[in-house]
Amino acid sequence: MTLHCSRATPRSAMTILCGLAALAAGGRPGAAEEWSRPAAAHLLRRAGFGGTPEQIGFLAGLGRTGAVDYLLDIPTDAAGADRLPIAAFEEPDPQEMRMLPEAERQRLQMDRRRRDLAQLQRIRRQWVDRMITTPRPLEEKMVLFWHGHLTSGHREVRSSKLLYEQNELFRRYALGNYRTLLLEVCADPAMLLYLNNAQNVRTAPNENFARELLELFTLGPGHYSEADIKETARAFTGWGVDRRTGTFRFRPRLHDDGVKTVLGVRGRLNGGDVVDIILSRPRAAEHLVERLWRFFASDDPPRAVVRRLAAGFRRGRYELKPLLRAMFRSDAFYAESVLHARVKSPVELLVGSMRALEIPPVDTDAFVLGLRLMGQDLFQPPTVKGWDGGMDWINTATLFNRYNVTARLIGGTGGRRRGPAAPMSGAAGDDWAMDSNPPPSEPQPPFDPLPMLRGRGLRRAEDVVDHCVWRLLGRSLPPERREVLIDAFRRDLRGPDPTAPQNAGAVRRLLMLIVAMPEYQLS
Amino acid sequence: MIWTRRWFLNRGLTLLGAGATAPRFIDRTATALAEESGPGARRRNGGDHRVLVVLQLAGGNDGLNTVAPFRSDDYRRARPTLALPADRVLRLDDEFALHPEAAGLKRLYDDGLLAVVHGAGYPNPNRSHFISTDVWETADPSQRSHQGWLGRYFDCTCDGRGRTDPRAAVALTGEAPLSLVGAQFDPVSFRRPDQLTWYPGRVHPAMQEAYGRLNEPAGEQPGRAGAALSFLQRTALDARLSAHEIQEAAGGAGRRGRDGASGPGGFPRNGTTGLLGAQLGMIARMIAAPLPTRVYYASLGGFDTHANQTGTHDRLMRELGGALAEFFDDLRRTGQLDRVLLMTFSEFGRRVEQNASGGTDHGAAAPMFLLGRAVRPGLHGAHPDLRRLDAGDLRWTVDFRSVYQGVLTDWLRADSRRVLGGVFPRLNVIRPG
Repeated sequence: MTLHCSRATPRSAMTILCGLAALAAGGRPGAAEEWSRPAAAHLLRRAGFGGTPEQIGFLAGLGRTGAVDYLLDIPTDAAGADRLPIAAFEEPDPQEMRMLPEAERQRLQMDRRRRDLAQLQRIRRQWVDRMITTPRPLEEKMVLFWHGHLTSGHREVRSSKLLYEQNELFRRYALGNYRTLLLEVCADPAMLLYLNNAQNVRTAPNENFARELLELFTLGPGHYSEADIKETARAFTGWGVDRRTGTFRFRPRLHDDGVKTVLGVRGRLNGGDVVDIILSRPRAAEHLVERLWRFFASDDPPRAVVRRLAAGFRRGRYELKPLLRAMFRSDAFYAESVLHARVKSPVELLVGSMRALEIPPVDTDAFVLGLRLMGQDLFQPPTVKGWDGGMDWINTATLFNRYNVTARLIGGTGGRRRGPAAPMSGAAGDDWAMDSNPPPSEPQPPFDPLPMLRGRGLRRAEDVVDHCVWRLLGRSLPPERREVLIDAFRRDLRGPDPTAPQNAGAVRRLLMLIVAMPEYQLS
Repeated sequence: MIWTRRWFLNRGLTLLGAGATAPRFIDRTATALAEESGPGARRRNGGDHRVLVVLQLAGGNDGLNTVAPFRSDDYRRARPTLALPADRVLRLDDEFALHPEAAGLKRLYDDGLLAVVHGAGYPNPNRSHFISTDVWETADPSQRSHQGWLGRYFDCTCDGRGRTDPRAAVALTGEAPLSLVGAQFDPVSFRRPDQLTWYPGRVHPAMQEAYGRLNEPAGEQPGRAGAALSFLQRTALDARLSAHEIQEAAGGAGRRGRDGASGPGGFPRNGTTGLLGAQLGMIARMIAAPLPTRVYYASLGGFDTHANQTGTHDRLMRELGGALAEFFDDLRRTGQLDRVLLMTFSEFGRRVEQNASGGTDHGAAAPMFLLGRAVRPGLHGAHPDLRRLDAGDLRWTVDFRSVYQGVLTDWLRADSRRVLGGVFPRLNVIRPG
């Protein structure tokens, strides 16, 4: 069984695969744990980006433990087969630049900027495509989590290559060891530039990175002092970036190697030492657990659950897989206060729609733009806090965008203006676009829903409606609302067979109605 | 079925009793629903129904040829073919004149509605479109801020209980401009009002009713999931009501240009206003509706005149002057003139010397325009000295944040220090009070 949203897998083959796999797995739910299709759908939505009825059915057949294990243990692809060809880091020599006439210098800088933005667009497109088609949804979901937690943004970093490398870093350690990931991130060029640590030197310490490391990334406000920030900044002095190659460089001459005290520990502390000191505090585990709970489950993590998971996390030496396993297996994750109670992020809304309907991604430029219009611009979180999420995703401004972007996934994007929108603040003029951009993606064709409906014995209008509702919403609707859909669909049909070719448009319109329901905004 | 506020009022339906789960802006909307007309709108609009219109000239407008030191030898020496002909410029005083094609601006100047601030810029000017535009939109030359200056204004004016209604700012751009985006605030943005609808319903009207029924409050439901759903249903209803209100106010599909009649002063109304005219026309209608919106944002592009500047800049000046003149004519006609202040900005001016392609390259300081009854008309500040350039560029004499400060303090009556993160030399361009 693969969770890959395949462009070519014939439906019958999928069914066989599901059946075989289910047989192989023994297919019995865990004795003490409640399990069901809705629970499996909830798990797949939260720990991934949702899926098709077959995929949910497969997980439903494994029981809670089996399903969680399955999602966590999908083999990662070694050698980074999906790697994009990324242009080498390019920073012109300041000496050479100074010798050029002003106009020439401007031209070179503009040119470099244009190429960098073009590459950023390519990288954004690839990530969206990856999320839609990956056979390892939990891994990609974790990459998204890390991107929003250990944040960096293009406006400040100004190098698409460095952000790409950071993204690959998150993918490598997505389900790995938290300590290792933290250490790598502290030496990540994009992070060092984003939070000005590249400028943090012995003679002129810059506290930005130290502050966010303690306040946002590892401990949270109230669990360290201002003095700890200053001392941490000292510990990270000299951790910089080679401006010509864009790689990490530790410069001992710029490093303050004097005695420091961080969180009560005294010594000639370097940055790595500070990370270990942080991780020796129980609070560090709790902080990450809380962040993970807020990302995957709900806005108010239950104290007892947090404590238990954090203790296990520490005992497991900060390995992420055991933590996630425990979290997704806990009863609290399936509590009533968690189910269907969270607003989907723009990524979940867009990627989830594509995966649930198995729509092959074509117009990735439109998807990237759509995510931005909905408020989630990849590689440009609004602040170092990432995306607040939850109810904040929804307001008068964004709601129409959410409805219309998802409608376009189904109805197609033909007729949209070609060419990616400039990834910078709005300007009416296109004077400085975009001639070195990747060629714009082709329009997304209207989704053909008939293959999805065939072979399921859906004869009446209400059967089709029920199937589409289950596929997209994962739960049943109150009768009045179900009636509204059935009524509208019936009136739109031509002829008695709702799955006949002449009704492809009507089914599309039904799908567009469902994704325009408030219920669909919730995960 | 068109869901208007009046429809709900007539049926005694309100969003009151929304309960603790509703965000406050919905509550404010609920209260406003109960007080349908003008006074209600004014109350939502900060109490003084003042409106700010921000007009972005995107690409870097050549300020030196917009307000030109037409007698200056240095000017003519630097621009052998681009300098404006002295016999055709529209004189503002003995030293400065407007571009010959900017007749609309000249008329506004003569009517006492135009103030020009010479030499607006900022320290260590950046000549990259993207970076400099960000600087102007965030009002942060150090480029640390991620939020727009007006976004921060809306974050601050929100009364701490919840988030400011997005309708407080309306941008006629495809995406929300950074100027209007705060940490919490998001404006409504659209190029055409019909974009503020559920697009399948536009294409297939038969679906619209089902959509409407699925997107209205359906009574309280239990539990967390129920509360989340209720919130979404209410927001959906509010979004549709707002969108409908905006569409009605903006005049439907945003007609381009006007009817063929001439306006006051005999200026032809057809063909001079184009895209900017359409934007400002919509804004004028929305102001007159009245919508409760406090800030409108429009954008005109094409100012990046690296080559063969003359034809392009002529056209832009014609469009700019014509559209602004018509806009203020509209405001006068609808009795809204006192309510509005319009401010232009551009990410930079252009170099003093023309280049080898009959154009100009990215520069630095340039004039800003402020228009409205509340301005002190005339020329303000000191024009940059053409003999003391900064690597070929005009040196700024006024920090643009002084202009923003004036707008915030004297017009919007806000705490400008909180918004701008500092205090800047005071400019006396807007009459306070």
